[in-house]
Amino acid sequence: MSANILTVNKLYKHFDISGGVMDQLRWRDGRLQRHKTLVRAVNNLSFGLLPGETFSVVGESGCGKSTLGRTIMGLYPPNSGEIFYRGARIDNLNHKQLLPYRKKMQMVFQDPYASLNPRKTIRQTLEAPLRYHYPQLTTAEVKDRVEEVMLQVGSDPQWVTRLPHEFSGGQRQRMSIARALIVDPEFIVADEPISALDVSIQAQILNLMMDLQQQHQLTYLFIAHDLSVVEHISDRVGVMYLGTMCELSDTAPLFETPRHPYTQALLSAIPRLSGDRSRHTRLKGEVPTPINLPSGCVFHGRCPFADQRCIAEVPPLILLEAGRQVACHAVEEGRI
Amino acid sequence: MTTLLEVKDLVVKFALRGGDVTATNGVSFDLARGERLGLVGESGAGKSVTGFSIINLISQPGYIASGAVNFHGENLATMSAARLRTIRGNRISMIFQDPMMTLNPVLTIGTQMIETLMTHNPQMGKERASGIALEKLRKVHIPSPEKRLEQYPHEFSGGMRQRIIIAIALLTDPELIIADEPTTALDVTIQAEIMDLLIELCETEGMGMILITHDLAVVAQVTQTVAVMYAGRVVEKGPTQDVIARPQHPYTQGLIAALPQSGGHGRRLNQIPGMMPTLKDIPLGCAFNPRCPQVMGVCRTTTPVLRRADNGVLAACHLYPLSIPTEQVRL
Repeated sequence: MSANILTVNKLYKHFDISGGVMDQLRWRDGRLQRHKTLVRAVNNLSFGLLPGETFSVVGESGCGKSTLGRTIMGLYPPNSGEIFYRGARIDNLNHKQLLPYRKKMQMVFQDPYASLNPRKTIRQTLEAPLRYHYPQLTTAEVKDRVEEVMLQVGSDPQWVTRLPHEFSGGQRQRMSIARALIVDPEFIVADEPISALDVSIQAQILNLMMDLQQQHQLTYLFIAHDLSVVEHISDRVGVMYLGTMCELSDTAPLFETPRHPYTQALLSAIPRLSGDRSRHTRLKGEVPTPINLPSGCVFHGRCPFADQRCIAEVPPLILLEAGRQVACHAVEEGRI
Repeated sequence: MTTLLEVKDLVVKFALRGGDVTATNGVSFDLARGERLGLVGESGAGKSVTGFSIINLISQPGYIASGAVNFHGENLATMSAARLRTIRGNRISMIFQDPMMTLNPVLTIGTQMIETLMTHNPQMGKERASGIALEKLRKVHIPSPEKRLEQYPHEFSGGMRQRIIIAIALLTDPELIIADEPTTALDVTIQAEIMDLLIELCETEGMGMILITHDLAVVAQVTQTVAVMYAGRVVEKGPTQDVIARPQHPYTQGLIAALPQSGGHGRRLNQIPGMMPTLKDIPLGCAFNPRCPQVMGVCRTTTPVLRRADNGVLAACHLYPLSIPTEQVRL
């Protein structure tokens, strides 16, 4: 536990979408009541990240993977639960107390067109976090550091005078990575960093991220929906469905023998170059909304193995074997 | 196999302030009845422009500069607008990427489907039209279609909306469907369902399909033939399995090697250096030459035409000897 660089314990994040007080009023049981509509984006997540590893969170749209990343970064306050960074609790700190952690934890966003300020030159974008976190640096030192980071991400340091619109998507994503890297972080949350890029550019950015990880001993929390990319770069993978973690495992065994029925369906749906479609398992129905979460196991409505217990009881994440946790009653009972 | 569609030396240009730029430059391919063809390439390769220009949907400032699109022997590129309307959306349908942008949010699904049918066939009664709409909704496996006809697009999930779009495309029993990134906006499990559906429909209805996508794996699952595009030209085409198993053009080779493969954990991916040129500064000779690992002197001066490579695949690359003129090579 203490070896973890990041520990998340029983994390909940709900969003209130019920609007103002007047919108919340409902007539029920013969009287006027206040009724809140909550989006239960993240429910009871617990896991830890080891230093230097790449932990990927996968799942389909709306499963809460981005919310998880943003909550860890302190962009959203959690509703309950705890987040520890190197053993120190960080979820209840105020802005000032968080500052030393902001240097150590950085984020790379999905859309390199939206995440760089279009009116600031690359130099301004890169210098801002550096001057903020290291006010003691001289102008010359700042300039050197910007140049160093530009070289690290494989860009020409001459380009710092340019504006974001002068760059292609791949180059912009390099700048986003440079901005995260410039304060010398240990831990980076990368929220779909390559999904807006073309295939040949994706490979460039993935290689860059893997190189940087080796050079700087970075720990990545990699949020993605592209499973073949996840398989390629992760040490461990957490599969999310409707705000809960249904399987958490080392990468190779997960892709070889997925245990949770949802993981099985998800992995079998990956299009492969071999063109073999025979092994696809199809799910029935659709993902329910996180506003009205199903009782018991959130997957029971679509699961071919669901029984009475799955409808009534929430399955906990149990340790199946070393490096393998699954939240499924059927797996626990040995039915699958 | 009878030829359904023949695209011949299609050149589409866009008139911009600084002069015309060429979006597709001499694209040619044939499609047989019931055949599924994939057009693959990265953003800016000209694959969507090709798809749109087949049904002459290129709007200002774009125009078809030369070339022909023969559908049953008739050239769609020079056809009158009135005649074109009897084919576009009728015998050739199109499916677009974003299902939310394609449907009208203020009309029910039923209204939109019936309107489509009655536009193409004004004699058709409303009863009959809604009967056909129901039949097509069943065909794309939408549960309780009678109820669904009364609903608005926002009441459907992304995958369901894409099914509706497909059902609308099917209304007129088209002979050809052009699908522009039909699964890109969808999750992977939904994508698999939609791909299954498209294959099933092509097979049961005998429709041809042109699938435009950036995803080689999707092409591998769905299509029989593939054309790989780069900077406005087809650089490689052939049977899908052959192209993917043994790509001949260095660009296709690089593209396939850049994909993460199962079991390759942590290894460096093969990357193609640089990026696709913009339409304004396409290099002289082969457009791929600045990024090509096997570049030769001739690549910088002469644009290669499609030639037959070792395994019968056509590749536009100087690596392969120019033995058979391409006009005689039919896929």
